[in-house]
Amino acid sequence: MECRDFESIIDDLAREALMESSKRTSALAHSRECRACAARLEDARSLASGLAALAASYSEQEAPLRVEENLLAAFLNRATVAPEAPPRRVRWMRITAAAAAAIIIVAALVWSRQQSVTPQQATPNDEPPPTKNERDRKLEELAPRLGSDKPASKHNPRQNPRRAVVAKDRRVEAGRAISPENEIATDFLPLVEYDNLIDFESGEIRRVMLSRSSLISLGLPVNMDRANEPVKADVLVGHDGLARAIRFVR
Amino acid sequence: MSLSKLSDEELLRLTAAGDENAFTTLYRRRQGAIYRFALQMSGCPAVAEDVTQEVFIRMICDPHNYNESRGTVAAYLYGIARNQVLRRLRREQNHMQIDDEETAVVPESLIAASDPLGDLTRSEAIESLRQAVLALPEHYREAVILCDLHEMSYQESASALGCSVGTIRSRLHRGRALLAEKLRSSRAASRAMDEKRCLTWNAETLKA
Repeated sequence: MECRDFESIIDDLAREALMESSKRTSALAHSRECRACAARLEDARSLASGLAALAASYSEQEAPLRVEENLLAAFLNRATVAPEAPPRRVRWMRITAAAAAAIIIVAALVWSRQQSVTPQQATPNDEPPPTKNERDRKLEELAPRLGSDKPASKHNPRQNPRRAVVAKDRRVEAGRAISPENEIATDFLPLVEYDNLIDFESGEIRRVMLSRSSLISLGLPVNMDRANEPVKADVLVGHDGLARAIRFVR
Repeated sequence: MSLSKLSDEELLRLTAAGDENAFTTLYRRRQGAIYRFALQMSGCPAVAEDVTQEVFIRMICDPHNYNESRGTVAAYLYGIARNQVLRRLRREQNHMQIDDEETAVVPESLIAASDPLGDLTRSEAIESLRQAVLALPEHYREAVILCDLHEMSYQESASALGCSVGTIRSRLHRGRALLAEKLRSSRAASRAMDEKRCLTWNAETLKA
């Protein structure tokens, strides 16, 4: 055995760690021949026994009792005040499901567009950007044209699209409507910003099947146990291929 | 089922659900090791007390922060303790009397003589080693403390310190080498001092 090899196993040798017997025999033989390595081994053994004694000297050390009392008080305080956060795993599941839902919607729209055989022409729109009131009126006009029995609400989603979706979510229960095919459908939920919605004059409604988890991306509550179950939806697509709104059908 | 028979992971789950007894059981099981680790790292009981409190406060406030796939609850707690200690050391360096690596002197030999002063020598030797460990650079110190004083496996230590097993191995090897070097030089200094004392005593005896 060379000194370098001996150096690499000196800690295990000093601590009587498990190693191949042939290796151990060879190392000990080397330490008998090499005075420098023998001294190193002696130092390592002294250090190992010293560290063991040092560890033992700490064995009685513990945190004072007041630490436990403080912590218990903090725990009880937290238990009565702080709400329980969702587990990290659930948070990640939600994020992943939202991302997957977005991908599915885009893929469904692309596929749906490719399958379309009677495209309609969108009316060119050179008008200046409409006002907030005009947008509300447009949403109201669009709703009956697209098959919903209930006109869109007066709520303005432009201020905060995410909030608008959540606000729409609250209307889902109340705003269920019977579609011409005797299906129960929600209101249309906007999928785009106000400016894109207002340019929309005509388009198509395309029926797609989505996984239930895709509802999360719209801020709708989803039972995670049924996240993989399909749900029917109608997507309002403009002739530019951009999805403007979605409604869910049962 | 008695709480004391539950694993750390189960106790942490119950703690997160607001079970006070589970929290107490987990605290009592782990506080000693965390306190000792902080004490060994800092050399200061006040810091160790604060760090222990902070570790478990963090556990109370965010019990879901523990990720089972990244290691044991013990390693998770050690990891928090380590970060807290390092933060405190950097903030309160004036409170510590940690010698620089190059200038630290370990004055006594570790080898306990079999004489009436053996116990005293041994306790002095332990104190010297304690100082030598405190004088190690932080990344070597934490590896030596976890693996040699707390007898944690390389895997657990790596999980606590957020590094690879290979890094732990090399830091431990280097840390032990530094300690051995210090002890060797201190032993030589001690021997030289003993010889000097002996010569002085002999000269004074001859004069008398």
